[in-house]
Amino acid sequence: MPRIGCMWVPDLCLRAYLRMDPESASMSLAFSDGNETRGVIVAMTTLAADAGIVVGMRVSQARAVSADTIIRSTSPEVIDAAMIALADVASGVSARVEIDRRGRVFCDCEGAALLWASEGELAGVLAARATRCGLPVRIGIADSKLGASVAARESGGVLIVPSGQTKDFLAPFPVGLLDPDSTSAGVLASWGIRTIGQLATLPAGALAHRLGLSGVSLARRACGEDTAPLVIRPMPQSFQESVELDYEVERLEPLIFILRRLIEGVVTRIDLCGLTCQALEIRFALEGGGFDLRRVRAAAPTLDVKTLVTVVRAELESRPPSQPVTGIVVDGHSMRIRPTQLDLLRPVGPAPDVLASTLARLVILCGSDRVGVVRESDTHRPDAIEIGTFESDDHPEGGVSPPEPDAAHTGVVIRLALRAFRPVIPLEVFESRGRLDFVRGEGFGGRVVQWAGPRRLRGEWWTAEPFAREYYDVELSDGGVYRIYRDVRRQCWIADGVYD
Amino acid sequence: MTDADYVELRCRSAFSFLAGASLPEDLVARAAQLQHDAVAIVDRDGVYGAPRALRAARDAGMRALVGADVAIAGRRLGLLVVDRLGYRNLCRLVTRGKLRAPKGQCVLDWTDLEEHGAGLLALVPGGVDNMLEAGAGPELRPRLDRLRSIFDDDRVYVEVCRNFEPRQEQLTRRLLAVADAMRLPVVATNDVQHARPEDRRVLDVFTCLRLKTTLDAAGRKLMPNAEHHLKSSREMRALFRDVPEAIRNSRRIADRCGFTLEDLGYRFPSVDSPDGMSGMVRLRALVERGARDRYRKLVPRIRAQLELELGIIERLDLAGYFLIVADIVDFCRQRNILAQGRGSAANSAVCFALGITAIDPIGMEMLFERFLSEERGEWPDIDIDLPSGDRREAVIQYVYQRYGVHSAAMTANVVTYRPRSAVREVGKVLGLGADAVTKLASLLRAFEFRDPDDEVPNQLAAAGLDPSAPRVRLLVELVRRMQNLPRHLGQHSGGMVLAAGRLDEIVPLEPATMPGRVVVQWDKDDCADLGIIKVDLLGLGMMAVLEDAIPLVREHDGVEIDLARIRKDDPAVYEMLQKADTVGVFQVESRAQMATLPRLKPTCFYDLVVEVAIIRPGPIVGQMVHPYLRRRAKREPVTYPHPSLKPILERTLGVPLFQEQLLRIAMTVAGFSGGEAEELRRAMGFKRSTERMGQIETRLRAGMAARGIVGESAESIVRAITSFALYGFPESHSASFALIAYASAYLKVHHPAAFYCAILNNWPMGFYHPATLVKDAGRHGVEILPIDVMHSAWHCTIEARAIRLGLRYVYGFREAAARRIEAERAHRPFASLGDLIMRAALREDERRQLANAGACFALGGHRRDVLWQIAALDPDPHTLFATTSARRDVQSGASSPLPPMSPLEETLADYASTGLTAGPHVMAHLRASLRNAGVITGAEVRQIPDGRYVLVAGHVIVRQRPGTAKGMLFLTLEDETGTCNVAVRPDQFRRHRRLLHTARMLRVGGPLQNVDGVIHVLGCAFEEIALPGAAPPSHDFH
Repeated sequence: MPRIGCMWVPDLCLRAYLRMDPESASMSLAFSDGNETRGVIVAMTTLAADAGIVVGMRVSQARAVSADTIIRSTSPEVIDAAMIALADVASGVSARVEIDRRGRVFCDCEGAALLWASEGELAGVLAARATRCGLPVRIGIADSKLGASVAARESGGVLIVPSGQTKDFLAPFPVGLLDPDSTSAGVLASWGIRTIGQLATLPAGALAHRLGLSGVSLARRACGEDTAPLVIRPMPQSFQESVELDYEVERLEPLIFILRRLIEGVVTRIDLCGLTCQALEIRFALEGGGFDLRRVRAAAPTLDVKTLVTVVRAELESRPPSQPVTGIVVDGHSMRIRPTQLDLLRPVGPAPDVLASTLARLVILCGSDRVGVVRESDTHRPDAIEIGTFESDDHPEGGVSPPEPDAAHTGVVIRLALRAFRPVIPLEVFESRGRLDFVRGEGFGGRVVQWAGPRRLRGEWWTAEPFAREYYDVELSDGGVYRIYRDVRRQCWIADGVYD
Repeated sequence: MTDADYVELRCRSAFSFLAGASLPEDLVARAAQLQHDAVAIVDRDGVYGAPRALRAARDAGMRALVGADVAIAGRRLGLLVVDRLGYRNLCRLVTRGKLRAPKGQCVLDWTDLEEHGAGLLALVPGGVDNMLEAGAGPELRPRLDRLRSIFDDDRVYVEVCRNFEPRQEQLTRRLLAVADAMRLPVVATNDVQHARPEDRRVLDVFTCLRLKTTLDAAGRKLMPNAEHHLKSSREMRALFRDVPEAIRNSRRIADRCGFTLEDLGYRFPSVDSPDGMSGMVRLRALVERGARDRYRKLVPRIRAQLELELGIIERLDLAGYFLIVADIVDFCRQRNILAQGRGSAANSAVCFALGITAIDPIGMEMLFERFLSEERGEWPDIDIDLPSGDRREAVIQYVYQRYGVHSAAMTANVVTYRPRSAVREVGKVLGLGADAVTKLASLLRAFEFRDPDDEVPNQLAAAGLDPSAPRVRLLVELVRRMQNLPRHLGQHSGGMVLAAGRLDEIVPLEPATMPGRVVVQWDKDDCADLGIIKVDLLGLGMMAVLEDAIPLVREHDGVEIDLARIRKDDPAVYEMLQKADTVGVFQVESRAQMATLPRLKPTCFYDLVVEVAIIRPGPIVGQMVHPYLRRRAKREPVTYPHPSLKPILERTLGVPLFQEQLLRIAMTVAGFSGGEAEELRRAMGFKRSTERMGQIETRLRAGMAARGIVGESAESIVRAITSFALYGFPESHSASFALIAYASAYLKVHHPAAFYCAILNNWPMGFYHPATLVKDAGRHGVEILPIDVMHSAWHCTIEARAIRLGLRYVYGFREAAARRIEAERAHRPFASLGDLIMRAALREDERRQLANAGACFALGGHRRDVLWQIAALDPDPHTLFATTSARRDVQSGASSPLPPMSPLEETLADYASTGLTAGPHVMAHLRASLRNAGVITGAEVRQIPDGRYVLVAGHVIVRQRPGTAKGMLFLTLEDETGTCNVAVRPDQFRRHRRLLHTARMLRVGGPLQNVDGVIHVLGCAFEEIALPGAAPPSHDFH
């Protein structure tokens, strides 16, 4: 007879959330099933319950009942993270662990007596470890997954159903616990079958004739004969930890403090799976409703939290979030640890961890906008570039490659190349009756011989740094042809580059 | 050159739907401000904005040129209208492109342009985006050659633009070179997409919405600058100083394009008969005949009124219009489709004589000027109520057929951005959190963005957004800017326009979402402005009920009812109305109406007219209801603001209740003509203009002063007019509705089975759920028979004065299956469940639904036995094994191991499977325990004296918290004996908010209030009654 253990987290979405943000327990907070307009309340804190919110209420009703209660949509990411953490706990005691979408984790307890004094002691260990992970669980152990899950739900803590007694144990419980498909559930309801025991009294053959395979399965499960094997959870590829803040974090240090905790969580879980961290994707929810997505990666996959935090710090120091941060999701992308095969014909490169730390330090020293691979931004601002991540591969992603010859115009194309001044050079421009007359900048200057323009570019008006520029091409008496612009917002002139 | 030398020939308005950011009115206003004397609105694939541009241009003293930007073989091309022929061609071209393409698109090719190029002038686009779309590469020359072959040399212009964009100058120079080489003229435009530079932000938002992206991700898909706005002639001359002919040509083109929409050439369909009789002569003849039929004897007063109206109709040349409406009504009469004119048409004796309306305006002393006046010079507006559904559609199709699909179409309904829609879309584009945007949108019912520093921040904070955050501020700004900009084009609910000849030469037509319908590109106001006649064919559920009830009465009661001739003084009808026994009766069945009827105590038809009008926002907001009711109960003397108003207000006891009274007051106290008085009403209407109101009020006061009405009398009159005009209900409209209300009440009193049967067959309509209607029918002696496959049809039917519920009430049951059951049963009764399932070819879910509804009792015993049996049948009744299986089922008998349902379970199963029950009311099952708890029934409540504490309980059938009731909540509880009203004070509501919001079955305790027969329990204690299943829902007004 198999023995299956089940860990079940009541109010999973609430518990998963509180695991990330324990302070929310003291708030009037409720969760809807995701649909904001017609959503239904699925969990709430004690304060919200005291305010009159109940499970099953529509969001609009809940708002009407308690305007002060914060109603959040359930977050699949947060719930997933909690379930995976729970599965990790189960993995500590069993090699065969199944995770399902209803806040349950099953594990194979057969043979547990060899390792633990009793099934009760095993359950106690599981409960204690889950609690340390911030997830108060109920635990049931029975002959089947169904029996274990019902025992967990009904336990209030830990409930062990003795071997061979699962059928009697299940009899008084509602038939819905058998998870019939919607058609079968409808049929059973119309038949007036409400308990598992009532279902068990129906002739199995007649049931099979009427409900097909589903009927066969229901009849067997109603008798405690659940032979469905454990579905072993697949090895995850990405590991997510997240936190929603009820206060805005404006300074870097507190932000790094929170991030370190999240990164540690991610790295630990990656480590438990025998993988290594390839990259981190960090999504900052910003005050005012926007978000800021960062992708950081060490030069090579690593499990070193310190290195990853350094890289993240470098990224944030050079380009802090534009608004205070109200929430963080850290997604750790993992990969298998591969042994490195050195190339006989190439010099030995730096160790990946060392390279990562070095790049991170460079970023801190020079700023993230000066370390990496240059890419053109999708904007009308001509000098807008993005710095892509430096890759240690042989063919760096986004590297600048020589322009392809234009097949239609081979041999006759004359391309002007602009050598950009970086940093740009402030200019004095003298105008006379609306015409550019004289230009003077550091290192060059002269009378304007010819000019073309303006080309007016205005954009990104929705950001903190909109641009408004008027570009001109000017030929000066010194023989040079320059691209200059007037920054309309700052009321100044700038030399952008010179045409070769 | 003067400042007016340049004319902007390419303005894309917001009617280009997400490709332009300003209303045509704003573009014209800005052009006028820049001292242009003409401007062309060239919207994408249509002339949607042209009437508005015309209106604005007329006001600004300038010209609005007409054009459209169409895609020929996938390349954009601007077309400007030179003359009326060109306009007709443009309309036909766009119509053709629209009707052959999916909704929202327009597909045209060169052949279409060749056929409809006359009278048009082509502008080859010059903006960077346009050029990239239009093609500026090697294909440009052949394209220009082809255009030249269609339009000749002098009607093709190459557009050049200078919007200070990168790459533009290169393209412009190339265009200039090509035009020069091909000897084609060039013209300067600014490719205008917004009126002012600051409107560019909205254009960027629209671009993102069009491309389904966010501002952060849009990148170079957005405009590089804000230069696509209207510019002055001076600016444009400076830009094109090297190509002065491009500026001069804009003026030349504008001078050539002499067409305006005022020269539309619209004609109403001809109604002259083949024998040469003119429309007016025919109308007179029809009116004479109809009047004799209606009035029997044409006394001088009637003759004078008819002559007055016919004179006005003749002078306004409206005979054709009346004849066409009469023809539609005549068609309805021939097809036995009930039709009744409503609204101001009921003020016309001619309409009454023609059978368009059913109210005698002379007998009721209605005011004709409310309907038609020579001074206004407008087309009259006749709305016809028809039975909703197929019969209304039949009338619409008749109009299409009678006048041709190219001569008739539905008017459009321009759907504009409202705060909620704008918040949702702008929030998305700004990348704000979906949760916060949804919450904000849900809070915006009354969000008008009037004062961003005051009201809006509170709303934003409530949605969890920081009002001071830059993006949130942008959200507010953009939402405000987007208000009233068109979002898309819909179809008006019933407005049809007609034209002599081709309507698609007057306005482009588009396919509507509904198959077989086309809609014009203008809404009803635009049509009205341009003198295009509209007839509203509106669907009314109660008309369908009346129409369905008449044959039922004939068949089952042996009585022939002519609604036009039923007596309006039937004491039984008024007795029922006085008792507020009006569930199902048109217009007087709401809780508020029921609470008024016992106090108003209608005794004649005019009382019913008042009753229909009194529970409206106008009388309630204007605090007219209680004075009227007090005066009616003789608790307050009848007084008048001025003695001269006595004849006008006498019928309503000195209290103004109707719009017509307002008009008469203005005519009496200030000497307004009928037309002026109607102008006053409109000025005070929903689209109030402060300036216009001020002018009219000044005239009103002056008129009163001239008649010696000053001081408090004058003030009270002005106050009554200004407060009432906004919401006032027209007496004619109320009278038309009262007629239907009376007819429905008459049927309920004298032929209840037919009445309830017809209502049940036309539901959804009215105020109450069918569960309430069938119980009300039961209380009126009509037996309700359950759904039964051996007897029920798709619709409810009458069996020996009882109503047999129809299969339409079985949830999820298809009409086709029901029709098969009807047909097979007519052939031979069903012998068993298997026989039923096989012969009616019922799907598995349908069998289950029938069994759940208890509809197979005659064939298989109690519901669970039937369910058990049908579950064993083969899912496909046509397989080889079906017969065997069915036989085995029949042979096995009706026994099952399942427990039979309890009576309460039966009732709840009825509710769950049909939404109603023919059996006992759910409360009847609970009565014993309720009785023990001291709960009395709805019927017993009426016997309890005022002030006594009572306990009542029932199913909540109405839950209402009207805005005018200062936070009071009203519930109507229904039990097996009747209904009981409960009023809940705001403090109690707050205390029991959740329960009162959600509970379907309630027990309520509180003191009884019985005032003038209006009974309420003032709820203080509340408790939900738990049921093992779901009760039917209530009619909730949140």
